[in-house]
Amino acid sequence: MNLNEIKRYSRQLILPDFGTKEQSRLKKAKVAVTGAGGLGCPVSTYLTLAGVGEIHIFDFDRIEMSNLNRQFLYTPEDVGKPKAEMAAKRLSEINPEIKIEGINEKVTYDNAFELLKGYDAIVDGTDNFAVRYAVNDAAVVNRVPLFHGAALMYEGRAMSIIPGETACFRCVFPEPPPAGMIPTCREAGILGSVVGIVGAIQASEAIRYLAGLEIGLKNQLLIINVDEMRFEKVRVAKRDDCTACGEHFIPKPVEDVCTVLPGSEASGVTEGDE
Amino acid sequence: METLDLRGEKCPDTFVYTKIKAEEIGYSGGGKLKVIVDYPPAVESIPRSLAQEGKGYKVLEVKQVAERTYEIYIEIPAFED
Repeated sequence: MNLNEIKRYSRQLILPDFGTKEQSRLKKAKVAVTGAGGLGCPVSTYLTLAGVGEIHIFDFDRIEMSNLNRQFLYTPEDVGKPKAEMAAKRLSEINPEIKIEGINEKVTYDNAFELLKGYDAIVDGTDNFAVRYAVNDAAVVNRVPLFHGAALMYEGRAMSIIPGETACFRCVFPEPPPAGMIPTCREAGILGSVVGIVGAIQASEAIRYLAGLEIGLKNQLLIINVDEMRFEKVRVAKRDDCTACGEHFIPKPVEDVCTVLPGSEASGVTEGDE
Repeated sequence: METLDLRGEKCPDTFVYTKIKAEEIGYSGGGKLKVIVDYPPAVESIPRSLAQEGKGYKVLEVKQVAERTYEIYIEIPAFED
């Protein structure tokens, strides 16, 4: 660790269960963040601040004015520019000690398995079911830990998936809800601080995991309700008949029905989103 | 015994540098460390913070060697991994 790094990370280095070994594990880690929107902004920011060595941000959207109530890495001057690129640029300014790459590409069921290979963790900030299931299946097949999060209106969800050990997203939600049942972000709305909470939780789980510490959302779905400020954990279980992480993997692309999970706003996945 | 001269540093940086050096010694087989400080609160906070680490650090002695200069002697066990 150089002196800049010691000073930059000093307030986390003095945490009792966190030290130089944990910090060097973060530095060696390579993480994919899918989406640079409402969830992707806090997720990638906290990973950057903590000193994760290499971060790849996937998003193919361009910045819109309506993103700015929650996507704090962008300014009005950025409207029209590619999100992944702008997020990487801002974050590189915040922490020049690490490597951040913006990848202006749409994640699909066809390319997810190849794109999301070779990472130590994936943190999901996608905003629709097609990509969320693609990311889950790719993470499970490639055996990359996945930190799921979703937010909508005043609700959020988070869950940590360790392939081979815990339930995956598909174990808990084998099928997406029928089209039209769940409102989109555009219809339902979202408050910036709510995606901030969920993104910060995903990042905390990912950082602790990468540092080699215990995490609290394995086989647990955290449900957050901000209007009453309720946080509850629901125990979930791995299913042997899961098409993703069960005995036999069966590719099962989910159609993009232009909806988001209660809890899932982010970005960069559905064309014309917002 | 290694010496870490932290004169001029204040809390929590006194502990930041102590911890980093202690871990370096611990991960390379353990040993003893002398820390020199001239910031009086650090005389109490360094031993307290070391105890909270749960790594088996032992403060052997705290000596005042000048009006505002203190030496803290720490025994560091060998860490696994």
